Amino acid sequence: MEPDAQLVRLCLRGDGPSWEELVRRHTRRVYNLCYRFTGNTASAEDLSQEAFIRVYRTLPSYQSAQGAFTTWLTSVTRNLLVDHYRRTRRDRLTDSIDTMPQFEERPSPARTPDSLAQASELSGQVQQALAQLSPELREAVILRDLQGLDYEEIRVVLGVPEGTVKSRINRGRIELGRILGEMGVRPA
Amino acid sequence: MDWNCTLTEERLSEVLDRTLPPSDAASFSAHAAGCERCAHLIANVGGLVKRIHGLPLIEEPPFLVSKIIGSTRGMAEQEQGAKGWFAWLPAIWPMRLAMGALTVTASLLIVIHAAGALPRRMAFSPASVYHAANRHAHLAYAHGVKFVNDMRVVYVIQSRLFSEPQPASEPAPQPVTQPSATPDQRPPDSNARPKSQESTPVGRRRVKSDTELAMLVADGLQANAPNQISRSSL
Repeated sequence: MEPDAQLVRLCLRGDGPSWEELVRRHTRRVYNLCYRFTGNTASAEDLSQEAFIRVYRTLPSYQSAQGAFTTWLTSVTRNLLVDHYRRTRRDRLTDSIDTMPQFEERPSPARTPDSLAQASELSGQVQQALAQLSPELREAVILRDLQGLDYEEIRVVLGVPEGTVKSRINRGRIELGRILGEMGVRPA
Repeated sequence: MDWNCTLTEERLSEVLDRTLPPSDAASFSAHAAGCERCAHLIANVGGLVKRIHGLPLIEEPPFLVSKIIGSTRGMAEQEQGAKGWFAWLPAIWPMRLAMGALTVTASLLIVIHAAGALPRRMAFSPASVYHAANRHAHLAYAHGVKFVNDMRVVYVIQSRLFSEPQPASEPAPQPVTQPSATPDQRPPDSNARPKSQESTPVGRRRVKSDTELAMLVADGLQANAPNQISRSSL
């Protein structure tokens, strides 16, 4: 049995440490997904917490036979992000440029200072480029290129046919490449 | 298969992920070798995607994990608190306790039912309702008839008492002074009580209360033959 599924089973029996382990294991992934989608650390933090609360409440509905826990967790988080996006649409329309999200991210350690600085700069540029994509393309690119999900998992998370997933990823990547090229980001 | 620039854009991900079928991959390679635009697109997007893949995950705030665990632990405690109200429920699930509770409940029901606190089920059938209503109607009618008759008796007695006073010339009833006198020697219509010297003639007194009237009627009944003052004669 998958380790996550085992932890979920223990959680459902009321084992607190298993839940804590599950949270520790997936917080970073959920936080990154929220951050990449919103571009705001405070929102990402709140949404991460809300996502885990939702996961905690709906944990009994998780069926390990239907897919990996990561996919299910991503699906729950993505639904929360969509809700958040719809909720804040009006606010965004009235936002001024001054209130655009500030990119104050801290990349993971265990890298040289140079590579950390480069990664931090690129991460900020990618975030700015993602913010210019439409939500559909953005979530497809985030799930594929930043979260590392495969097409099948993305199909499950987004609830659309695989052809649509591929099409969105294609268009998203081309659009992202164009924007990053305009920003002066060089390919590897 | 004839490959073109539109196909390159449409199947870019398959090209980058190297998941094109062999025949399509050959067609793409043949096209890209002579198409600067497609070659540039593949190089540019492929290189950027590669760089993005190399991006590390952003570190979450240090207190986020403990914050999440704290909030969910609070929820768990709340749930436990809510469950605590019903913590006694599992104790009644064992068969013995359940049977005991059932027996006690049945006994109580029987006692309450026997005491008449609970309506019987039959009492709600249409026939029972009809019979009960019929019985109560007849009882009410009988009570009414009895009341009217009683009042009639009272009024008749009252009317006789006040409308037929004894004449003043009529001698007062003779007290029984001679023990040898027999009942045959008394006047037949005498209202006086033979054994009581203090009794006053009924017709000369004013009755002031129902109690007094009842006593007078009783006196009259004792003084006269039962067949003289009877309900039929009234």
